[in-house]
Amino acid sequence: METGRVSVTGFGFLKERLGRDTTVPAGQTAAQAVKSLHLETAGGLPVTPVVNGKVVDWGYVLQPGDRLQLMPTLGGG
Amino acid sequence: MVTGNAEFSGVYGKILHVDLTTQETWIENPPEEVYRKLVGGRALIAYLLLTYLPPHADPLGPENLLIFAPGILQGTNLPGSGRHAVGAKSPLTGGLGSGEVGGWWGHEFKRTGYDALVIHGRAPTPVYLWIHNQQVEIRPAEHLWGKETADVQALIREELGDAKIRVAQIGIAGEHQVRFAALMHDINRAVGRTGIGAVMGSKNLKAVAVRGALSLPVAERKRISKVAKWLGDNYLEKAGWAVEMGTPMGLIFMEQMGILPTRNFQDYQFPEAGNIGGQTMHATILIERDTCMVCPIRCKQVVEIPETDGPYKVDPVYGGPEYETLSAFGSNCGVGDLSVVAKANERCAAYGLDTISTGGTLAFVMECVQRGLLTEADTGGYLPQWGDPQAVLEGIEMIATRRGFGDQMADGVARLAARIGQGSDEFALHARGLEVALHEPRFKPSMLIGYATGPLGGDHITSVQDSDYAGPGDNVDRVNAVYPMPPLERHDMSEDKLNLVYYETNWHHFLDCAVMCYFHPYRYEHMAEVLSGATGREYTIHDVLAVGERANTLSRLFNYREGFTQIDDRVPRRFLKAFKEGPIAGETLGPEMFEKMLRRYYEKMGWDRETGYPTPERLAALGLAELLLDIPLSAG
Repeated sequence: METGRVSVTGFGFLKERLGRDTTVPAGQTAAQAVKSLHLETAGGLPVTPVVNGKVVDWGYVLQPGDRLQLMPTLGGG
Repeated sequence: MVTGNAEFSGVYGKILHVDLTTQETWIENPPEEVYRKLVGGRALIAYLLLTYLPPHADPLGPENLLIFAPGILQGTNLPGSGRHAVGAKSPLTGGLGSGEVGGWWGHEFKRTGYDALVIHGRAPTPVYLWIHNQQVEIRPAEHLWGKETADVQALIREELGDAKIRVAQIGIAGEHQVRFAALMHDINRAVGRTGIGAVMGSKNLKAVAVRGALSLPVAERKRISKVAKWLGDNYLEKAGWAVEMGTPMGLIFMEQMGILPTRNFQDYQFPEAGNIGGQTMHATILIERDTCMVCPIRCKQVVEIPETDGPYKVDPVYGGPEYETLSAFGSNCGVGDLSVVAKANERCAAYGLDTISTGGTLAFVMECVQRGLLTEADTGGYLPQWGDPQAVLEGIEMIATRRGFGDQMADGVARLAARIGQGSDEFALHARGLEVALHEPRFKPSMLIGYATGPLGGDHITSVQDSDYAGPGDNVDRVNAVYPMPPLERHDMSEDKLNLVYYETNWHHFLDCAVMCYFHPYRYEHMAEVLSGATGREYTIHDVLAVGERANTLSRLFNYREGFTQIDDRVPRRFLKAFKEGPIAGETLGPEMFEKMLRRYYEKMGWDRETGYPTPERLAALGLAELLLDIPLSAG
């Protein structure tokens, strides 16, 4: 991965839309990264950001080398 | 044609009452304001219970009422409206019991020309009701008693000579008055929560069969059609997740996020989650997707396991497990075998059991065994271990028939913990007697406010789930129609979050009055438009939310009248302690913030800050004071 960038992985609906080897610049929040990728929801399902295996706030500032995972999050069922 | 309310459409103006003791039937013609202010569903159920049920009646006695209540929108053919509610005083909690269900029964019932059905009394021997158009028959049901749900539906249809009859029925769990017995519709759709099936069993009522032919009058069809078209144009984008896989999709992601209820919520990840998740189910045992009346989403699962594929044959007539069931019998009981979970789901539909409470009760007993709090002498030898498939399936059968220790398990975790003692109440995971759903409140802390204050107790449906509003999307956009705010982090407990909880809890209650499906991505303004179109009365988005607030408030009045107080607004202590490790380590609302949010929520709802009782000022503002004029209430 290019220095100063963050890898982004999507699951469920987001997997196809993101494709493989997607990265975004570090230094922005998780919310800003998702907005730049136009991936606010997963087929209408809200998404939760996970960085390096830990659930984070949307205001988390992405660091170089971070692994951002976007998890569809079920509310009911 | 409208009767009873000549200028108010969307209803027939008739509530059908049936007394099983006297075999009398009569029609009630409620005034317009009852329909206009309450719409149907939970609000109507709470109002009818306050009106007709004597205070402190035995939930399993003949005085209790069993109320079937579609909403005004049932019969309009709006996608997502193919649902109805059923309620009673709950034998599990002692408070308001109600649940909503999809399928086809509600639509068929409304085509008989009634807006609701209220059942009184107790038949001396088993009976079933046959309602067709304007006729009501009470028919013998001894030959149906003790049979499984699929057989009962087939026998009733054969007996009445019509394969299109819709059947709501109890299974053997309802016959044995299991306190969390479900009321099954169309065999595989459950009014699961709060033990409505036990109330029906206590009345010796096996089933309610319906067949109608009327078309609902609506004031302005075009306004409903416009919203239906919007749904048709947008559901693939906004509810694509439900179309693609539905609720089972979520399990594996919960595991990866460290929020999957595991072993009675002691753990947050389940290594075998991949075996029981929706992706595996769809790749192996899923045979089709099913749907409800006028719904394009088709979210329901149908699974089959042939006899040749191992020890757990699963009949597809019973549908398939959704997320709650996968987690309830899977990760939360430590079971990593999908065929066992599918079999557990099948048995619960055949016996008429709530899968959430059944799984929660088994998980509680397993933790008691883990901690050495139960012996063979206590349970007659039933000592279930985590992950034991036979223990899960045997436990379900014991509960449904009240066999052996099943007689105690059939009363739910709150009563079990009181009997077992030894500190087991620490991990008896219920709110006001209702076993909690399979969602991690340490990740979604506002759920605890819902669990503590909601009418039912540990019910996830009306509770606000913080992760739904943490990022941008339709949920935040919907709230912005009445309260401009940005997305709020999950653990944000600001004034904005309080307002969000207030508005969205009222929205959820509205959906349970209308009675609408939560998976359809409608906004407040859509519901205002369709209610206006159906009734011929103009509803604003604030009117819509006021319906929901009335439902919550009437439920509160009922629960206080039946003996609940502010002290009962409590949640399991386990959820107020953070995990020490894992992806959400350190996260919890904590006892002090819980108490603070609880009091602030009372104020937002117009409930007294100290007692939690609705204030006269708010009752007046909601237009409830005049509805409640002659009704005995608690002093608060």
